[in-house]
Parts: sequence; structure tokens; C-alpha cells
Amino acid sequence: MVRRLAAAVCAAVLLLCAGCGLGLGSATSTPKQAAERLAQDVDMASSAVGTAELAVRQLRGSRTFPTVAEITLKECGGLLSGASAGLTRYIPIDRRDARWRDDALRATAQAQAAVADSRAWVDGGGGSGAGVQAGLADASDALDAVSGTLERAGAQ
Amino acid sequence: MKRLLGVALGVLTAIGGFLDIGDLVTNAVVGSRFGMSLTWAVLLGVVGICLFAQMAGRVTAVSGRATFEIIRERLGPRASGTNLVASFLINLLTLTAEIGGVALALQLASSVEPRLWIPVAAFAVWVVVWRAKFEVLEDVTGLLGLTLLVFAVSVVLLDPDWAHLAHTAAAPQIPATEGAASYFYYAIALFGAAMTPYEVFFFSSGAVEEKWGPKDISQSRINVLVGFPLGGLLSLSIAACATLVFLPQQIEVSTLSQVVLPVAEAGGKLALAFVLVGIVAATFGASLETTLSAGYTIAQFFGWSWGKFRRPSQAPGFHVVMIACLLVGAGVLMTDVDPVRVTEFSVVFSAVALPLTYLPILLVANDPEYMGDQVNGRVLNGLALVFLVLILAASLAAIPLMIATGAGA
Repeated sequence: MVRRLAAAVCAAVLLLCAGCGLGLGSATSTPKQAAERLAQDVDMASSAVGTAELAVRQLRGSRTFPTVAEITLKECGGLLSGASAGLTRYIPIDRRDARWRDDALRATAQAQAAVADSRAWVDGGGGSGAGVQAGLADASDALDAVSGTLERAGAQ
Repeated sequence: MKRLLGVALGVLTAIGGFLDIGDLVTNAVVGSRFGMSLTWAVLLGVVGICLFAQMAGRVTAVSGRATFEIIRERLGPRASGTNLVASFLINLLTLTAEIGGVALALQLASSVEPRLWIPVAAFAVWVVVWRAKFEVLEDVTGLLGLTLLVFAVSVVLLDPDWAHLAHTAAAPQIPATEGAASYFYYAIALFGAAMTPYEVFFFSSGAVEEKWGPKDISQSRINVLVGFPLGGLLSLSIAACATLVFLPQQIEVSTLSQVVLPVAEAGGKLALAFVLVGIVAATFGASLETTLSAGYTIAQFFGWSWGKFRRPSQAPGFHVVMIACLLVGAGVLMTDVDPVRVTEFSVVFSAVALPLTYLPILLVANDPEYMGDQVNGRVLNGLALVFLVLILAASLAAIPLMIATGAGA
């Protein structure tokens, strides 16, 4: 019984270690790995901005309720905070990597500001629908540019 | 005529009651990341739950006793105790996810923080479990859950390229942006979402509540074999909506508010109102079912008096367990844990624990002492054994895949 328990514990530890080695928390050591790691946070930010654009477009077209758009935008803000926190925690391996991270952080910050403006517009806090939609589109373009750079670096 | 209406009502509530927060979230996440390439996993899950529920319903109809009473008698207290612990914990996790789902859906409709809705939702579940008749709670939530058919309508309104959609479903490929480990992790999640153990406890104990006998076997078969596959089609509609709206824009679903966006895109505010009602009904209905299942499993295992057909004072242990589970579920959610993450874990752990509930039912369904001439036939047993292998494989692979993919991230 004790042997079986010990074997089960060893197997669990082994699986956990395997998870650390394969999972997202693994350390990066090559430019390719670094680009892939940064791309995960940038993709998360892009996904949040895409969702925000959809919610704003639907509200402008009277296809959704303000409460649903407001909650969607709030959650997009949460996702962007997660992406930003991931990028902030990241330790670059060289100068080029540090530049990529800074570009990603700037684009994510722009996206956070655009989503915050969108929420303010939905809550009647000023701005125009066209203006916030344009702001989200610009933020999306900035994230796409960073994503493209990281994709090319990851492919090398 | 009355019997025909009874069958129709049973089928409709089976369709409306098929979906819960696990199906809603998992199908939308999968559609946004993998398109329709995991349709096979949903289909396997639907066949599996039909097989599982049909056997459990027949066992109850023939023996007049619910699942856990028989499992304890057949396997003995030690083996069935392991079974009880695993089933109870998974059920508690699912209950927590469902209450969280009710709160998130109400937040979408009201903008009020989910943490304010959580106690309200848990209290409402308790009041209904305490006061409402079994048939009423089952039928009302099941019929209101039918408003989720708006997902199927939305797929049509989004005007998809049907040939392409069918091709991606029929000839599945792992998308270039995703790894094989994530693909199979989500296949297991879909399988687990369709085959959640509480559905079988509820189905089997509900048969006792409604006093089924051998003459009701055919009706239960129709409910399962027609209602569940149509419920499965609803699951696929959710995945299709996400595929059509999110996949081209590379938007990954991670919140409940995203799940309803394709419906608003397709049908505007009216469709959105339907889907919000449907999500509240589906999650509230599943909260009722998981709460009752918690009481059923414990009370049946320990031989306590149980059931909605008894007054609460005649089944105190049964009601105390349900109240305790609601308090624990609501308490966990009040720590600000993300209900969507709880849901994702609950469906995967459902798959992990599935052999523990499936195997005993299969054994009893083959035991002439309990079943007489209603034991499984050869064809059914062949299919049941194939599923036993699949369930074991999914159960063994689930946790390593969860670790390797960072829970599908």
C-alpha cells in the first residue's frame, strides 16, 4: 500500500515537472522561443481588441444592449490587463528581444486606452461612436504590426 | 393523446435541459480556436451520454432503485466509497460552475456585479429545490432552455458556406496555430462536457421521483435517443456560431459575454434577449440538477431517506447536504474565482472521474439478478465496451494533457 502510494506521488511529481518543461511558464533561451512567448500575450491583446471592436460595432448598429456591450468591454479590459501583466513579467534575453517587448507593451497600452475610451462612451461619458471605433481600429493595427514582427522572428 | 404529449414534453425538456455552462463555454472556446474540427468529439459525447443515460434509466425502471443504492449494494461500501467521493467532488465543482454561470448571465442582463448575484442565485436554487415539485422544476427550466435554439437560428442567419463548414467537420484537421496536445485536451473537455456524471444521477434518481416502472422504459428511451442528440446539435450550433464570427478574426473566447456576441451579430437584440433567457434557464436548471444530485448521491449511499416526493422533514439529511453544497459553491465563487475557469476544470475532471460512474452502471445493466430479462443485449454491450475503452483513455489522458498545455492555454 505504502509502495503504491509512493509510486503515485512520484508519478504526480514527474507529470508536474513535465508540465513545467512543456507548459507556458517555461523559460526562453533562443530568439525564436522569445518571439513565441511574447506573441502569446500579443495574441491575447489582439483577441480582446477584436472583441471590443465587435461589441462597439454591434452597439452602434443597435444590435446589442448597452449592458451586454458594457460587460463585454469590461472583460476585454481585464484580458488586456492580463496581457500587459504577462509582458511586464517577461525578462528579455537580449536587446532585440527587449525592443520587441517594449513595442508589445506600447501597443497593449494603446489598446487599453482605446477600450477604456469605448467603455466611457458606452456609459455616456463622452466621445463619439465613430471616434472610439477608430481608436480600436488603430490599436488593432498597432498590435497586428507587433504580431507580424514576432511571427517573422518566430519563423526564422 | 395524453401519452403523446408526455413523450413530446419529455423530448423537449431533454433538448432544453441538455446544455449547461460547460457545454456553452467549451463549445464556444473550441469553435473560436479549432473551428468545427472537433465535431467528432461532440458526437462521441452525445452517443456516450445516450448509452449511459439509457442504461441508468433502464436499471432504475426495472429495479425501482436509484444508481447509488445499487452501486453500493453491488460493489460494497469500500469500492463504492471511492466512487462516491469522486462523483460527489466533481458534482460540487459542476454545481459551483453552474451557480457562477447564472450569476454571469444575470450580470450580462443587468450590469450588476456577479458577486452580488451569486448569493441570490444560490438562494433561489434552494427555494426552488425546497418548494417546487420535481416535475415543475424539470419542465419549466427545460422548456425555457429551448430558447437556446436561437444559436441554431443564428447559424442560418450568419449565412455560412455550408459545404466548407461540413467539410471541416467531416475531415477534421488540427489548425496550424494550435498544437496536437491542445487539440486533444479540448476533445476530452467536449467529451466530458457532454457526459457530465450529474446528468446520469439526476436522470436515474428522477426516474424514482417520477415512479417509473418497466412500462416507462420505451418513453425514457425516446427522451434519451431523440432529446439528447438534438441537444447535441445545439452544442454544435454554439461551436458553429463561434467558428463563423470569431475564427476569421482570430478572437479566442474566454468569457461568457463573448459567447453571446455571434447571436447578436446574427439576430440583433431580439435574438440576444432569447439567448440571455436561455443561458439563465440552462444554468439555473443545471444548478437545480447538480444540487439535487449532491443530495441524491450522499443520501442513496448512506441509505438515508431522500427525494422531492417526500416532505423535507421526512428527508432531513438529503436537504442538509443540498444546503451545505450550495453554501460551499457560493462561498468558493465569492472568493472572486473566475466561473469560466471553474467550468473548464469541471468538464475535464468530469472526464477523469467518468469510469467510476460508467463501469458500475454497465455491470448492473448486465446483472440478471437486478435486471431479469432486461439485461443489455449483445449489440448494446459491444458498443458499451467500446465506450468503456474510450472513457478510460480520456480519463487517463486528461490530467497529463491539462498539465502539458497549461489547461488548454
